[in-house]
Amino acid sequence: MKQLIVRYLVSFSYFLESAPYYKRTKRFFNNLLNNDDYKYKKYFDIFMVFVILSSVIILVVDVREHVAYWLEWYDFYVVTIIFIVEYLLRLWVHSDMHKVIIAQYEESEFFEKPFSFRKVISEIASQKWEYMTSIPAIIDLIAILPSYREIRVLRVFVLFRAFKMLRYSKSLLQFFEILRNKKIELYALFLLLSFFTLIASMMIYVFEGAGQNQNIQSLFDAIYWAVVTVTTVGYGDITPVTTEGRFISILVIITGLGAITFLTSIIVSAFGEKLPEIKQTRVLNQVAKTKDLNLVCGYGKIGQIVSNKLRKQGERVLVIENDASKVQKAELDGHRVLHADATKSDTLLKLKFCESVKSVIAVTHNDIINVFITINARSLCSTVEIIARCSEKSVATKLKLAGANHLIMPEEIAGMLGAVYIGQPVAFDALQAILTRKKSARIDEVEVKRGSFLDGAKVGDFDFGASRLVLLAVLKPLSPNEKMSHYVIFNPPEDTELHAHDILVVMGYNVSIADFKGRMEQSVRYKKRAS
Amino acid sequence: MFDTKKERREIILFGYGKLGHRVYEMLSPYFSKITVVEQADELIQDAKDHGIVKSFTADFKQDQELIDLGLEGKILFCAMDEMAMNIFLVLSLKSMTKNATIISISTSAENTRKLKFIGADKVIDIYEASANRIVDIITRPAVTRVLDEVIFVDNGISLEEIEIPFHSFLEGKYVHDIDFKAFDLILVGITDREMGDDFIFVSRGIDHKFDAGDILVLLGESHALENFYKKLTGPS
Repeated sequence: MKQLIVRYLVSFSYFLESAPYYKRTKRFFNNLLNNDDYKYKKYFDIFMVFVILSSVIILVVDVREHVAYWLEWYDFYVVTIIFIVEYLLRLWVHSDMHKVIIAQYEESEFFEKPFSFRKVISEIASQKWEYMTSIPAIIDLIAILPSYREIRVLRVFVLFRAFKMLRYSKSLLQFFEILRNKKIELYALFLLLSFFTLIASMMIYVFEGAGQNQNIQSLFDAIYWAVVTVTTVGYGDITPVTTEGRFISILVIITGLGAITFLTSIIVSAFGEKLPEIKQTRVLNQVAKTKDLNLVCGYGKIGQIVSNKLRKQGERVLVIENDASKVQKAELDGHRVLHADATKSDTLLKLKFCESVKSVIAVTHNDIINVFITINARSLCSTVEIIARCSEKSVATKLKLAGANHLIMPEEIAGMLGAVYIGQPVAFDALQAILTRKKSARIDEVEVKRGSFLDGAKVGDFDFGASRLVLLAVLKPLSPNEKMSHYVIFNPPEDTELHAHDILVVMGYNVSIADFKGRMEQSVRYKKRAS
Repeated sequence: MFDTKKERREIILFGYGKLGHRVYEMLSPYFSKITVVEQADELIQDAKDHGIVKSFTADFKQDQELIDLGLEGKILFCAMDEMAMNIFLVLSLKSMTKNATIISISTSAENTRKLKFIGADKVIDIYEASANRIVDIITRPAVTRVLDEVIFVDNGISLEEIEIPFHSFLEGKYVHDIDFKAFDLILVGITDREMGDDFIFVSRGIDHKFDAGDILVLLGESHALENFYKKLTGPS
């Protein structure tokens, strides 16, 4: 009989292990309940907060007023069932029972020992017990109780429903997390204060408890007075009447003030210590949902200008910097900053690197570090665009080998600009004006859209001159459907054919370029409507 | 660049440190008359080791030593590693020359402002230029690619400015009369003497009349540019 059960149990466990639907379902619920990065978790959290709030409001209103029957029904059945289902789901996804069975079965087969039910049950129970005794699980369980209204004291547990909301609010959880780091100091303070309060309450009881003070009838009254005084609340319902009692009051008040100051400083310092971490978490959360991120690694002279210019042009920028003073400068400049080392894979992995990052700009003042950043980025993602700065020529080849797409050599650029200026001062100014867009003429790129009036046409078919544009070059993809690499045709002949994904590089004034782009979009829409 | 220009421009490069050395490397393919001047003996030795015959030591604080170099009419390129020295040098050179072109390297917006204030004709901020390039690579990759091919890649395509000589075939004609496409060239813009010395982009659509002394900025392959130049300077 036992063997039969074992056989069914083991084969059912193997079935679960190999069932994609089961795994998918369990993964879905695990993501929904526990994975902060899962896109639907946010909606689940909002739903749960709504359920909790509605239930708490109903229970509170019900204290003095009579709520509508359907609201009671909602609170009793709907809310309770949601809470129970949530609790059971959390218990379910916490661990895999079938894995324990399989492991025990394989162990028993390997050592040729009989299958031990006891071991399996104790293992599963200990895993589930581990969850059930965690604080969030206890709160969840207690939050189910207020539904049973016959026992009035259970209504106290309404509070636990409010506590349950903590689960769905990251910032509140963070607050407790911060306090937990100071638990030794807080514990010491609490102990000291409890000890002092106890002594003070005994002293006042000794001096005034024997009938001198009508308000102090028991030790509890004395403790109540001591707590109210030490916390500087001072209701005034119990006041000392003897000189000794007043002297004790003075001591208690001074100690209370000291303790509160101490408590405040503990909390403030805890926040101070954790502030950088909180900021980092916030930055990571902000960029987690961002696509096309430009990572500026190093906030030196080049990094600063690049970050500011990119942001002005509407690009998304994240600065990664290891130096605290530069991090502060970047924050003051209004950038999102990660205080981290860009040469470490952990830093880039935290950003979901390959999915969300468009380009990595390694512009620290140290060539070697830029090489490291390039290697790090390229080893994690083959498609990301890497722009790296270097000063030494010998490093340039290494950067290329490491996978940098573009090299920036400031000294070389300076020399080149100097050469162009000396040779062609007028052309240089024209080029500068075009590049810095200081005058309204500029060079821009326009992609030929599929189905637009230029798709399939020849260069000569469109009169660029009449549109006040100069066609400088056409970039054609190296292979069809290739969007990244192109070859360049300068001053293309009239019979050059144009196709979708070709890029036209045109020079003109803002209005002409905007008009040309608009015409391109319009022709695509018109064609779509016509078809 | 046309050989005449290559020969005509005389450059004095001040500084042969980390920066000056690289600037020399970039200038030397285009210009044949470059003199290197440095304060440090070991750097001049480096220059001589690299085969630069015209390299001298000079104390930049001594005006006479600078004057002895023969500064007038030349291009004076200040590329010292130390920014304070560049500023001092530009100030000295400005005070002792009348018609020399002074170019200086700068490393910050603040230095650029100071250099312009004391009279440098052109200031190249190496960090800003680098940053602009990075921004262009990200925001306008195709434009950057095309400009790279024109400026950085030695593939025969270049941007050239040509002054219209007297009695050339262009004189008296209008922009629309000339089919630059037939010369395999693109006319980018023109400095029209009649309309002041401002540079006017051709895409503005105003039909300019060509006169002698106007400067055309043309884009095209070297041989096309040279053919056009020959036709322009040849008998009309």
